[in-house]
Amino acid sequence: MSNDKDKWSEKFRNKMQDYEEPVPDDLWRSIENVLPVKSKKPFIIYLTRAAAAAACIGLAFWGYSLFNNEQVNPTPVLTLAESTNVKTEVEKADNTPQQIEASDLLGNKEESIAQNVPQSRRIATPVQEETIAATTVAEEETIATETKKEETQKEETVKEKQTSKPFTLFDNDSKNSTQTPAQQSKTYQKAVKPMNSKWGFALAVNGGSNRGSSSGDGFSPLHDKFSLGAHKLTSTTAEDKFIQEYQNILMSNLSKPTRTNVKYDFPLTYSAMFRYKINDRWGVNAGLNFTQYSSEWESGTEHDYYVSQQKAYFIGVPANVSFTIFDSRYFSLYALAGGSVEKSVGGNIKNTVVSNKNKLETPSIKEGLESHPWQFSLNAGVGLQFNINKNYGIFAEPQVAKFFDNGDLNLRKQDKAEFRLNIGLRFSY
Amino acid sequence: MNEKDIAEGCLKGNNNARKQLYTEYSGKLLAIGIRYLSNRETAEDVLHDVFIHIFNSFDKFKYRGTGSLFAWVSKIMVNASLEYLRKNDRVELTEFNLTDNDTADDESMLDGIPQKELFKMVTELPDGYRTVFNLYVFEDKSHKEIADLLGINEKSSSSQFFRAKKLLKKKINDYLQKVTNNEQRQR
Repeated sequence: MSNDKDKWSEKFRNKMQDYEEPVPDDLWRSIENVLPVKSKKPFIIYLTRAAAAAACIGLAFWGYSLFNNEQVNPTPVLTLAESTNVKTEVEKADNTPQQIEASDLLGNKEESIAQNVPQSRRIATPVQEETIAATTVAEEETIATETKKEETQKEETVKEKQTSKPFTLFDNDSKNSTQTPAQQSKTYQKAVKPMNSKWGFALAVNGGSNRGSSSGDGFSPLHDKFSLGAHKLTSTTAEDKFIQEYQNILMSNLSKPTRTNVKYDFPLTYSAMFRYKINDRWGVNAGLNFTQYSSEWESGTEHDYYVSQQKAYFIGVPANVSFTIFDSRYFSLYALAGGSVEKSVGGNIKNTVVSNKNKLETPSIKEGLESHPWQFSLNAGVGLQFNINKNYGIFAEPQVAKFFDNGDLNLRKQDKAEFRLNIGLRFSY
Repeated sequence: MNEKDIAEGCLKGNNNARKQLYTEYSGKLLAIGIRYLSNRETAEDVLHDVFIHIFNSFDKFKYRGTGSLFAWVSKIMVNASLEYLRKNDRVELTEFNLTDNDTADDESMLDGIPQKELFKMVTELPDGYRTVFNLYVFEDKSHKEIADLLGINEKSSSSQFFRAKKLLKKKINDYLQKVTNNEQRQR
């Protein structure tokens, strides 16, 4: 680098160093349109966190239910010592394949029970839907015992003498099962089809396609209280500085073409919903949800404008009906349609003024939302659920939603249907 | 928003910071572009690409105090302009017969010329003169550095600069003469 430039050159440079040329009005817009928008937290991070939270809650729920099962199962159990006075009788099941004569397997039932089961051992009743369905606890006492035989768990239900219903022995091992294939299939399906459970509880996160932008000619003024002449500046508070700068840009933009650009971020909804299955096909769903919206808009000329960043939070009650189209061990496909009612419960708006004349100072104010409107929506879509086991499934529900007027909050592009994706975990019982 | 805030905001992809940077420097960068390319439309196209490049490569910028951000963006603008000139074979040395005798360096002659006129005079210089003049005066490059940058020899750079300077002085004198004549006519 040269240090011995002649004075003439140095003077020329100093004179011209800060020279600017006017930039065309639409240049920034054309640059902005091709710039990648980096959201503060990418949508996928929200989804991952929400899915992780849903999974944790689901696991906790699962653990709790398992713990509860262990406590509940012993209820109909008698200790062998208590049942020594119970005269039991095994009746041969001559008309149903599930019911086979216990003596065939046990020989003398009393001797077998006495020999194979320690007296102190509690005997658990196997949870078998068909057995439970066929008998009532009030009518009979059911005793099941697990034999210590290695390859299969044999479970038996011993009915008391006074009942006329036969002793039922159920073998879970398909090799030794005496069920017909059709009955095995029925039992199997009952065990694995979560959609057949009457009740369901789902935790989900919903991301919408509302993200986007719109722009139009003209200035979109802030609240009337900031307009020219409406505010008497009394001090140098942050609000006064903001209003003063805002009024300056109003004045300087009076005779210039202005534009308003609006950007919407992904709305995120967290929901907890119960499902009740009316029958194999139809179900109703209802619950609670929480949605956060954020949007940003700027209005003015290229050099003198204001920026508003708004956040709004809604709590709502979604409800819909579902229709099961297809159901299998691993997948369930269903259609759903419904709506939701939501109420704004909070939010804030931050306004910042950017002025060409005072580039280094960008006064801003932050205030709560003035209105808390209601919001209504209708939605329809399909759901695909992967059944992890008979109780748990992960689902995705792409939906189309139509939102109705939400007052003066700038939350989404108006009059446009939104695509939304619900992802979550469902517990069925 | 100060220069450091703008830089940090741009690094995070903050749109307000990007716009602030644009508002702050676009006029100066466009002037640089026109000074090198001598054509407003071309300079605007280059400026468009330069801003996109700036915003997409902000991770390469390191804030080193006030002025470092403008130094970085203006360097990108200069390089992009030179690249455009190279691609369009416009870095050719210019031979221009100047019949007038060289005048002595008189810095005071610059005082009476508006910025806009001086700017216009530079943009009217032939490509070779203008490129070397810009690099020598505004980028503070030595003739050795200019020679390496443009692939010419050092003497040629020096020659181009002095011819550019001579031509500019002539234009300045002509302008001043014109202004003087106008003033005399008005009297």
